[in-house]
Amino acid sequence: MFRDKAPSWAYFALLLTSFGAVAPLAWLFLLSLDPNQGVASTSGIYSLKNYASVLFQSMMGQYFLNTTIVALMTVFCTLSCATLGAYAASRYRFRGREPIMIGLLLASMTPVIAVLVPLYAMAAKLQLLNTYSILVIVFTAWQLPGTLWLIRSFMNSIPAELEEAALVDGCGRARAFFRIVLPQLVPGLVASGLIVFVYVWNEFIIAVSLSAKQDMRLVSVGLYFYLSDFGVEWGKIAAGAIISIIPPAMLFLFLQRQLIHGLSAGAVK
Amino acid sequence: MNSIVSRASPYLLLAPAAIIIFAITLYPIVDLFWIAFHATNYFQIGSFNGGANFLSLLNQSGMRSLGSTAIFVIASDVLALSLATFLALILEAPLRNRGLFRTIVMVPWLVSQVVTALLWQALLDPNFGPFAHFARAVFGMGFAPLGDETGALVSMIVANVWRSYPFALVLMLAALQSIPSEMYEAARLDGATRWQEFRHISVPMAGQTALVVLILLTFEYLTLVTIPFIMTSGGPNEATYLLSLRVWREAFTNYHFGFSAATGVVVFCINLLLALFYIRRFATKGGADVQR
Repeated sequence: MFRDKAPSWAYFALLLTSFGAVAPLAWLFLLSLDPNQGVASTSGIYSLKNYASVLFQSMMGQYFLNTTIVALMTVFCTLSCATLGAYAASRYRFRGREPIMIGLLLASMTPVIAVLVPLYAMAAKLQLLNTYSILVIVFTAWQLPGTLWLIRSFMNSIPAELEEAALVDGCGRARAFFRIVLPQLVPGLVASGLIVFVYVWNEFIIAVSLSAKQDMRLVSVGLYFYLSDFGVEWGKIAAGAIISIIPPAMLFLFLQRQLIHGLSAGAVK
Repeated sequence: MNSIVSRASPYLLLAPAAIIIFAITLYPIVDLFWIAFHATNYFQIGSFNGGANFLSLLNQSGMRSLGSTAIFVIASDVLALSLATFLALILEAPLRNRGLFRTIVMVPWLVSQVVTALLWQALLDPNFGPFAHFARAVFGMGFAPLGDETGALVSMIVANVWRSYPFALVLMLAALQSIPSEMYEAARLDGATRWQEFRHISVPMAGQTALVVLILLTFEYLTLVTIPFIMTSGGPNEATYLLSLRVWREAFTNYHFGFSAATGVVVFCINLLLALFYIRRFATKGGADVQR
């Protein structure tokens, strides 16, 4: 509608929205620098005390470590299972292929909240509550359908002729996969891996339900307990929140190009 | 022998993914229905009790949850989609610094639900929040929306829209950009007004995407629990006790696993209807395209 010419109020509307998008975070940053824990709106004193106390005098360091371990393990499990499945769905013709793919899509629409109670009961029975394993398994299951679909459409966009030639020349399926398909798949894997990593980093409700024990919390859960344990210390909460935003923001910044390339190549078809 | 192996191999390759997904999503759903129709006492699942657990939803508190969920989902849907469409239309225009604006308005996308809830709780704080500060300085009155029933629900909708409009914006921008310029040029030659261009070109061409966005947003909002959990914990006076939060609290705070499962079944069924509609309408078509 405005493709040829911007309306006169366009800048006004955009400046207003940009302010709305960024100002709350900027204020959160100011709050995190306020050593008086935000009791007064502007005390005029700024320091890094809150950051020091979050990083060195709380369990946050442990929570960052927990989250990183769980996120990396989830990325590894999701990508390997999804790549195997996507290879089957892309390179083989077999009975039930499309129903399986639709079933996966349907599974990905299961509401988390609906299965938490059964999952909690299952984890309790298997004595997996408050472990990395249960979080990795549940997060992997949650991210698998979407990742498998994404990698499959990515793989469909890689021509099969080269592999077929290699197979004719006596190269085994596995070797053809590792030598020919996998290298071309890297942008798709980076994009999917990034999505999975950020998902785990930001996830809250599964983590708080299955792993809330003090030393086994993830960053998001730790932030929440910060609020409920030390309700008034908003300066520290703000500092923790700012720190928790940094890793996903950095990843997006550095991997932006791969992300766009990976996603758009997968979406061509 | 070799041919049996190669015929089985696609299934073997899909097996790890299928087993994990089955164990963690499909099996628990069956379990959910089982629990929902049985009497429970903490973790002990007792005898079949018909639909008694569902009666927990038919009292005043349950009805209030249904009502506030409907308001929350519909208001968030409408606000997020209209804001996204409006921004997408402007961001298509030839503007100076367009790339910069596109990046800046996407910033809330990076913020997790936990941080969103904490952030808005702080922003709306009656003591040190900037809104309260402003209200005191300009109007000489207090401002404590989270302590008020309507105010809390409205605040939660605002926080939710703030976090989720960028996702809708990406998809709407892509949809609008895929409309060929020739269509607008032809309309311009025929003397169409801006509004007519929007009504007769943008709406029909990007309408499908808008519907997809609407369904995906509804999925998310319907099952959203983190924001009410942290921002208001359902209060005040159960004004923001959404169905999804009820599922969590009935189980993990009140230990009424049966009530929780029954509410979960309701949420699941609403979602399933949406999912089936979505897959029939969009995904199977896309799936056919991808077939080689």
